Amino acid sequence: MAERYEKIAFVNLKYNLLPHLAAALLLCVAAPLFMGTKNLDYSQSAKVIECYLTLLGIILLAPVFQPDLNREAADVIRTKKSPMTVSYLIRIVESLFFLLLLGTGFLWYMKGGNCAFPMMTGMFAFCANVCFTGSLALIVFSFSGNPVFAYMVPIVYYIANMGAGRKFLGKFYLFSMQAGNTEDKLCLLAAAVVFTALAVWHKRN
Amino acid sequence: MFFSLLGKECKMWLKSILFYAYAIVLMLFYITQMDSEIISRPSPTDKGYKTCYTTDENIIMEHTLANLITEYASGSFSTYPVGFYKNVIPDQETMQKIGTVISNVTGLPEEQWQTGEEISVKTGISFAAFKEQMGKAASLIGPGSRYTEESLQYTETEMTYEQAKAEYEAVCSADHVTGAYARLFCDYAGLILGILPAFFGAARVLRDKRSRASQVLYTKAASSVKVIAARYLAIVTVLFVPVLLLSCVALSQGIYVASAIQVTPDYLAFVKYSLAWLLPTVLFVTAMSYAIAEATESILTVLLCLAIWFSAVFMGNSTLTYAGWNMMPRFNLLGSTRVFESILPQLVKNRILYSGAAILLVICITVLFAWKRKGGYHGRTI
Repeated sequence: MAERYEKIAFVNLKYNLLPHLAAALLLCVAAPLFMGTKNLDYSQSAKVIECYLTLLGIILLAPVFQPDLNREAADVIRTKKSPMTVSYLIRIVESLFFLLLLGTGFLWYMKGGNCAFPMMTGMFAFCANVCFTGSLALIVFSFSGNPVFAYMVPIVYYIANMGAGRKFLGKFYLFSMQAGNTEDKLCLLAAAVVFTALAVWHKRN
Repeated sequence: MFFSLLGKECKMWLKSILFYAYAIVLMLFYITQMDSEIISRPSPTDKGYKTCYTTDENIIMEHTLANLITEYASGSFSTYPVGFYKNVIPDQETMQKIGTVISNVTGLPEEQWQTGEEISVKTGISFAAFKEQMGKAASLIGPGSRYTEESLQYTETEMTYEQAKAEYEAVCSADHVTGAYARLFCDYAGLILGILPAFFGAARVLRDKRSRASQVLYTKAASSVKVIAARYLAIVTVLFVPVLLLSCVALSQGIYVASAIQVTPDYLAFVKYSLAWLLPTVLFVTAMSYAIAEATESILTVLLCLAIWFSAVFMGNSTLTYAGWNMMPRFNLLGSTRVFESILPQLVKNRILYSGAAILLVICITVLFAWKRKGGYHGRTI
């Protein structure tokens, strides 16, 4: 059984996730070229986590349903013993694993550069933001079946946050940590769980 | 044949969820971003006036020196190498060199200019010599500091009544009020139009790939030029018509203000500004995303366009005084007619460059499409 799940994860990594993982890695590696990642105070650190690292969620979670766009491949997957739900969950967990890996690595790098933020708070904010934006992509992909639209919605949501987001988005404002508020991140995480569950449920049916 | 193709493409987009999402986002962006600032005649009894940019070398030198001393005292320097904040904390040796720069421009030893009192530049120092010293500080701190050559061109200062009056008169006579509002509209709309067309270019190519329409399409009689031109123009049309419609809504605010202050409005100001300012952005971003998607056939096109958009947003000018070569030129201020007139020639060059680049990209897409048609991609043959 475990071997079958490993195979699903391996095939997803090789044929679907790899270019997206490379893009995510590039985003992290290139960060010090574009912005300060050393000696930042709490608010400046929060800006890097919320404005920059949040994009990783879209990059790694949006392609979860991508393999099913090929109907022949999707039909073959459906004939396999493992239910589709399991296949989707493995892909999501795989993306989350890489998100955690990249996020932890990046935040440790920032801590090593004398940035003043509690590691747990930074991780919590990172997880909430990437899960929310990623789940937004998942639910749009699931319901619309349109991969470009699935990228468009979270990207536009992210841009809206850069604009008048604080005024209009309330508890779903992505950049609240910069103002010292991490409680609202719970709402983002809760919404992420609901969106992901709905996306998988709808896709399975 | 061409117009039939164009019509079909437009119909296809009008049935697409992307188009409706685009129209809604554009409208929401306008509603949430455009403020309802009103142009009014300044009075000598007003408590204060707007800020303006000044090229007065003395004011620039005093402002810059004050910034440098403050940052030196804090031991850290704010820089924006590509828009994002970067805090630079120089080592002891570099700090000493920056201290020497301050001593050179004040003519005072460190103990005297570190007292916290207001310090002026030394008498008789020329602006050229000041810039040379600031250049040294800029190279010690790193890119994106406040002491670069570009940062020393202008500085912000509060207007006098006479300046505010002259500005008001310029808005009324040269802009007919509506022109000032049209610039602000183009500034905001340009931001979002720097990314939204990217989804359409990518979607057009991926749609073919997904439905495997390419094999059928490649055998059709229509030439590659006609197919690509029809597809490209259809995207540009469905993207730009909502912009023009939205500009009519924005125009109403300009007309209202113009009539309130008894100025004859320029009813075509929004159309003229939109065509000259926003259309090149739409043309370029659509062509860029279409070209990347046609070459890669990958959804990663969207991410690449997002990266380019980010760079354009964050590398954009922080002042209004330089149009530059940015994909999305900014002018985030109501009025400032004379400043706009000074950057207009550069803005025109900028817009011509992006329109030309868009045409070049469309030619590349056509060549690539024709090559694919002949079986030159993935070894496919027709």
